[in-house]
Amino acid sequence: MKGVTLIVLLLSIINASAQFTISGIVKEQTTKSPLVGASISINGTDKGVTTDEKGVFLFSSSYKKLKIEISYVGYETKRIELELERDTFLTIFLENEALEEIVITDNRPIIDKIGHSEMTIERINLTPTILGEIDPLKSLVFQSGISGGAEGTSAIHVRGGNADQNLMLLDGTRVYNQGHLLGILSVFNPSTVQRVNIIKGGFPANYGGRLSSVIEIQTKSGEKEENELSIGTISSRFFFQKKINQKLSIMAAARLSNLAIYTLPLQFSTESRDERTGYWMYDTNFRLNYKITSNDFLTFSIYHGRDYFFQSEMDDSGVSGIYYDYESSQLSWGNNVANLKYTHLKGAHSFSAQLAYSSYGLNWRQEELGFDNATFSNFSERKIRNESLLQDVSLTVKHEYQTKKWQHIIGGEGILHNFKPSDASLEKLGESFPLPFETKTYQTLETAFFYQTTYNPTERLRIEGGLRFSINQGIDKTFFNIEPRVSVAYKTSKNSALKINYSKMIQPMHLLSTSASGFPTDVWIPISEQFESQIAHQIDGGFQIKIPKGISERPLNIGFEVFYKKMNNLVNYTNSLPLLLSVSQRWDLLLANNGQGQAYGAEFSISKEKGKLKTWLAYTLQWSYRQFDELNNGNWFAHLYDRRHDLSLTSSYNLSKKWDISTNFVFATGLPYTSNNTTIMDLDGFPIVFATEKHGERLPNYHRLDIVFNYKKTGKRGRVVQWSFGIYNTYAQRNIFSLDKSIELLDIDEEEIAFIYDFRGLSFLRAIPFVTYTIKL
Amino acid sequence: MKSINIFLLFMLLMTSCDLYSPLPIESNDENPKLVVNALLDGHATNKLRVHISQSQPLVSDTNKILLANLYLDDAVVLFFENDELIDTLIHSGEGYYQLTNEIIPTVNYTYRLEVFHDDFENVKTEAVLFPEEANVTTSIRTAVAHSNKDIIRFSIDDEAAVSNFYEMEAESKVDSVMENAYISFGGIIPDVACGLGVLIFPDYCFDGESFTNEFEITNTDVTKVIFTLHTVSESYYKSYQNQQGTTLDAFQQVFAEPSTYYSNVENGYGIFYARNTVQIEL
Repeated sequence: MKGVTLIVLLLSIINASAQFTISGIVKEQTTKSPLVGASISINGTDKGVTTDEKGVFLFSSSYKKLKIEISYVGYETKRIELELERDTFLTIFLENEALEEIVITDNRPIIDKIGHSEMTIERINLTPTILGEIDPLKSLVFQSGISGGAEGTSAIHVRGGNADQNLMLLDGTRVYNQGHLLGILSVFNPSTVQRVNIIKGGFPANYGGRLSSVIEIQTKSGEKEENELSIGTISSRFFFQKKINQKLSIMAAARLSNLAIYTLPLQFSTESRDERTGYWMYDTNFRLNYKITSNDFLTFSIYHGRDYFFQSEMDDSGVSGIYYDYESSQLSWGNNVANLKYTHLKGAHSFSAQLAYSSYGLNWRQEELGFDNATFSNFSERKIRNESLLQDVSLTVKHEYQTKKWQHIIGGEGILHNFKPSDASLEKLGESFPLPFETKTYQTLETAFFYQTTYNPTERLRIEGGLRFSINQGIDKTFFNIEPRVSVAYKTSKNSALKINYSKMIQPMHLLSTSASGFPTDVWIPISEQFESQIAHQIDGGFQIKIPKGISERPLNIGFEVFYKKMNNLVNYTNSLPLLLSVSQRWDLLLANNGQGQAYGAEFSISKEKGKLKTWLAYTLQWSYRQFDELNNGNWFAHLYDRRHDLSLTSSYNLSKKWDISTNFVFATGLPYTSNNTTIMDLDGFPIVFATEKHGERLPNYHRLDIVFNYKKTGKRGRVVQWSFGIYNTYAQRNIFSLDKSIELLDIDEEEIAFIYDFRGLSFLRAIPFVTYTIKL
Repeated sequence: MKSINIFLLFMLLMTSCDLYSPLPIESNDENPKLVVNALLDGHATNKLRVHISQSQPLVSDTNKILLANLYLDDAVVLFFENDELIDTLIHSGEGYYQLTNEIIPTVNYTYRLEVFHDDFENVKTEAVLFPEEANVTTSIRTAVAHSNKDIIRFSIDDEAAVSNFYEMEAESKVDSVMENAYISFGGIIPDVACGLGVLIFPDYCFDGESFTNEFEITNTDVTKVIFTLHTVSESYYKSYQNQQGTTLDAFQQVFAEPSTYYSNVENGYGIFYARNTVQIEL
């Protein structure tokens, strides 16, 4: 550690001569609220910085004369010439363009676009998903290299990785379950989201703990005055942010599933007393920003979300209020996230410390009541309870320093995990029944120290290098890993760049998933000698080119990337699938370990982000395979979400000042599945059907077209009202959501057995219209 | 009224999901293989049951299995004990083969079957008569309050440092006739790993310790219950696990990982396993 610190100091001294620090804050002209993610490019070059969550930027320069350009989506670009004699602090106001059309422009330097994607809320708003719901996470599948899971779910797979291999950060804190409503919605309320950053390759060393991607969801800063009420088909939400005074601003939001309203008649009608079903979902966000001094900031944010499903059935005994064979089930699950972050800015230095808490739990209860004819009363026949829980407490400390040619990030993080994969109990007739295992809570510690540096030897060349030293204490063994990260980028012209990256990633936890991620049967487990940390080596690279206005009518952004990823120590259920929520502490007996994976492919994207017609096209060609000694006779097989071709085309067209239309077209190769293809007789002469190869078949290709019309009107008091009407899966394509099979025995005698084996795909969500009403107060 | 309309609209939308498309079964290009299913039973009168057949591709429409075509009556079946040939089995009808000599299987001996047929690749499979009889320490039959059910609760002393696999069975005597009793588990959590709520379970969770398990049977007119506890080979347990997986995958899980077939027959399909048995009358 000392060595690294010395290197940083040495580099600082070398580069400290004739340096000026330019820092400042970018604000909106009208509301004076800070603009997060505004781009500041220097001397018309590709070198630049973006403002942080306080709207603050800083960089160093040895030039005395400097031109900077400040731009932000939907705001007029401002150019400033500076003559520097000392460190300078700027307050820059950007004026909102009187928009007749939505401007969605990715203003990041061209080098930063390779391996990294960004989705602003304006872009996310163009891609409504099921039933018109805007979803920050599900919109990511419109990016190249990112595939969705099963139809309708919020699971995503980046570059052939598993769903658990994405580091999901909500304002810097890990979130472990991203699905509401069995995955139909993600847990991120779109009203609160400012932007989503995705890193698919060339991972900086300050990120770790997952193999395939980093997905940062950045919520709104709370410094712009805004109130919003939205009523959709699936959920309704309320959001507001307000600047209380010069130092304090807050943001709060709540969202509730409308399913609860739809099922109210079922819950309370007297006719349906004997059978009740209900599903509630809600989540809340709160964020507070406090400016201690002009250089010191404090942020505190909380997220709480819960899904609650219940079902009860009863047979009336015939006597009022007395039931026979009453059975009720309750299932609930959700996340809690909280973090407190302190940021200090001084000159070219930035220091931050974050204390965070994150938990994900699921809880299942079932009770059966019997009826005693002798005493004429109900009695508790049996009660079953099972819980699974993961809790984290983490501390992250980071120091950033920038000179003319160098940028350094150094820091560390420690995460204390408490895993309780299963805590089950059983009561029969009021007495506890002994289970053959004890509930255990496993405590593991994930520690990492990181150093990341960026060196710009020339205007065109950028070299990034990083080292992450991670110490992961598992159940019965501690693992030491060094994770090197290297990235070289070269700007071939003003509008084009090449980049190549290598990353080694470590993931010190596993997700046991029996289905699409987001479903409440998913359980996180710790690492141990038997189930070691997942490891990935990834090489990726590509080029970006911007065809400026003049050559084409409007600027075009074109990107091409290739990647190869090798994964080790993967874990999968063996053939013995556990029943729903019956995962015991002996989950270790149900798993195949030391699995391997490899994924490789190419990505292509093209976008036109200005003009009346805006278009984004993303295409991924990909192969993703897995191998476990215990599965498929040890042979490699296609990953469950391996899609050879994955194409999406999103377009938006401004019809008038008030109307616009957007469309999404998606095409993807059908998912692999295992199909029974052989029959044999068992020892007693009964037929058995089975598959000879895992994931040997493919479902039909997936494709659909969504169309959305938006009508926006500004009222007399400045209230903006928006109606969205659309159809999901407009041409009613039968995309398969799940599989079903059955055997119907036709005839059995001494000479012949005849049966029909029926294997079917269930289609889900065909040509569904939707309407959403939003008012900004 | 409005909310009812919205609800009806929503239900209409959701029910429109219920659409099935048949998925064709891709033809299995694999040549048919020999299927050997065999049980070496240390407790039964017929110590070795062997059934030889061939596999058949599954098709999308009606599958007709002509048993006469499937059963193989002309295979050569050799039976080895610790690599020593001890018998050549003879066909006894409908694909079943039987010993020509009486044998007494020995615990911890390895038994092997080798099967030869002109039309198929030769196959072999082996099993160890590994498990001793289960050491059942208590077995109680008690009536469940408020119901017409009996609980059969039993405890076993498991041998330490040895992997044992157990299988439960029960028969009940109703009107002087013995018949298989329907076993239910009265709400015990089904747990593949640790044996609760399943008929076949390993000793992973109680290796070397005493273990209590129970199940329920209907007691209407039952005069006698015969409770049977087998100790079985690991291959049989794996085969059972596998079949559990194949039955579960399609029903509860969206795109769950289905099972592929488990077999301990080299170059073929089927299971050869051994077992020992304890029977208790309650």
